[in-house]
Amino acid sequence: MTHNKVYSCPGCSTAYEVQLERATLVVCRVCSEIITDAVNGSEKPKPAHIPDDWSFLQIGTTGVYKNYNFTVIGRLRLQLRNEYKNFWCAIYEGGKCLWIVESFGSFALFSSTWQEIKSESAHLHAGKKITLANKVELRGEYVEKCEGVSYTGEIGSWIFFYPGFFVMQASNASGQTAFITIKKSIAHILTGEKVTLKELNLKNILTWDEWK
Amino acid sequence: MSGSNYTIACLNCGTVNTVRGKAMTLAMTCASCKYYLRLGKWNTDRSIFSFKAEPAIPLGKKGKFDGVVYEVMGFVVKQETKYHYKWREYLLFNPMQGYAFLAEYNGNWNFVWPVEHGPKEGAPEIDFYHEDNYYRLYQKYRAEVVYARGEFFFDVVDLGESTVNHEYIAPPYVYTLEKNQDSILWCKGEYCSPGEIAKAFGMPVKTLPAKEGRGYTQPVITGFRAGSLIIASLAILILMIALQFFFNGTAKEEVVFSGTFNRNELKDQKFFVSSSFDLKGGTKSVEVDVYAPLVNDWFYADFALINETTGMEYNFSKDIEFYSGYEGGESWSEGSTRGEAFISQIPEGRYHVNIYPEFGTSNESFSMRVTRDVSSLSNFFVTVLVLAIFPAVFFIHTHIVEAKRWEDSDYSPYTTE
Repeated sequence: MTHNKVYSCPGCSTAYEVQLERATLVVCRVCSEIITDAVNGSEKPKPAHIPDDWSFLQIGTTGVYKNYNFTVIGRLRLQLRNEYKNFWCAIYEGGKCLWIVESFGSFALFSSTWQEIKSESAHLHAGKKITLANKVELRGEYVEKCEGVSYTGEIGSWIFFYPGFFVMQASNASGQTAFITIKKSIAHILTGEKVTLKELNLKNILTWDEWK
Repeated sequence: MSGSNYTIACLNCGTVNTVRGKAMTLAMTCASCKYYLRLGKWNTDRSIFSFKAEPAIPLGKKGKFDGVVYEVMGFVVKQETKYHYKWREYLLFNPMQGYAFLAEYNGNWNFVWPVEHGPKEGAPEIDFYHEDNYYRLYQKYRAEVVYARGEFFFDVVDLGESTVNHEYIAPPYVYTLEKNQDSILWCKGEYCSPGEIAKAFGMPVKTLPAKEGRGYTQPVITGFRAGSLIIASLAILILMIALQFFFNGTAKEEVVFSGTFNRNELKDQKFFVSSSFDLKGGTKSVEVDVYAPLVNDWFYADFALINETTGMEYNFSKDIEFYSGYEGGESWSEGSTRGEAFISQIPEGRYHVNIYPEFGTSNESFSMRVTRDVSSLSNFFVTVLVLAIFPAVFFIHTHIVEAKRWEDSDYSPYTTE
């Protein structure tokens, strides 16, 4: 998949220009067909429609965080056993990927790339202390099995497009956080920080009038 | 934008239920058969509750807390597994804020919401300081859901059974820790009065459960905190000490009369009359010191300080006794040969003192000294005593209420072994 290249949807012929420098998947927002992907093997994605929910972010939502302007261009939703996690894929600085991870009013930002970690990955549990490569210590908040993966729009670097893997989030009091996927004793980690809704300065969000 | 067209067919009776929480709802009860349905992909177990209950706040009702409108999504009755007491919880939802809870026990309410960071790490049994409050572990328990109605964003039944709960209180606040192998959830809560709950939902307070006793997070007095009272009392005490030093430093302590009176000078008179003396400097205090050279004897006198211009009298009396001896190989003594009287607020003018003495068996004389503008510690101590009454009553009352609050806890700091 090439940055700035224009692809045509195989389902409805809608043209789409890839915006991220390293995109993994582009799903047509018109017909939900896969426009293009950079995935090989068993994880090759198939159309997976995002179920209706009360999320208030949407593709096209913009925001500012620490002087970076970002725009949401895709969404990947993980249905966990007792939770859900929306990974809103945002573009900033002309092609970089920023994940805005959201659920029930809780927000975290991840701008790093996935790193593979192998040690003790099979024994991760809530409360477990995790020490990152830069010596930062985090504690596991939850471990959940993923029961569903759905997506739309343009998706940045991502590994699993089918459920069955485990996810874990670990954080510390300074707001540093990590999101970890675990499958067959191999873990991949994404590091970032927790933020508040106010800090994101979001615009073009959905307003649910019933709660005004 | 609003509404929900999200539907799910009941796995038990087939009734199509509109799902208010849309895809966020992961468990719900069927509006028709009342079965509890798990909507997960791999766990589709369903169950029915033998216990029945009616929520005091209807499902779907909206209420405003701290300016945020929440909707009641679900209602559960939980039962503690050791002591078997029950309480009720309401799951609230707002799209921007996420979820929160209202917990009610004996008509006492707490509004509880998840927090991003736990206030402590380490052993759950250890109390902790957080945000200027000292949180004590109040209870540790497991609970089961004995009744559920409505929708839930998690499997409230299974989570309840697998979770160990810790609650730490610093009224009106509470921190709750729900912990199992898969998740750690910290929530913060705050006591709400039934009136506040009724106001939030715009419903009559009489429709809520009747309040019984004091809630375990209900503050003793909501107007101020014990810390504030201690600080205010110390500030007043420091001010009093400073004022005392000031008055001590400015008191002139001028001796305006000093004299000795002998019994034989009394002759047929019943009282002595001192020479006249002037009290100057406006309205100030006067101290009268009396000395009698007593040896196993007593002396008593009534005194009248008389303003020679106005005729105004200031009366007081003094009873002096002094006894000593040697008994059982030890010397002993009791009483004193001196006495003093302090009279405040005496206007300036020319005065004398009439003295009506009663002598004991052997004593034949006494001395009197009058001093103008004397500082007194008695006013200071009386003021401090009066100021101490309110804090003392407050802390005694607080102690009694706190001891009562902790009666239901296994971790009471008021329990003595």
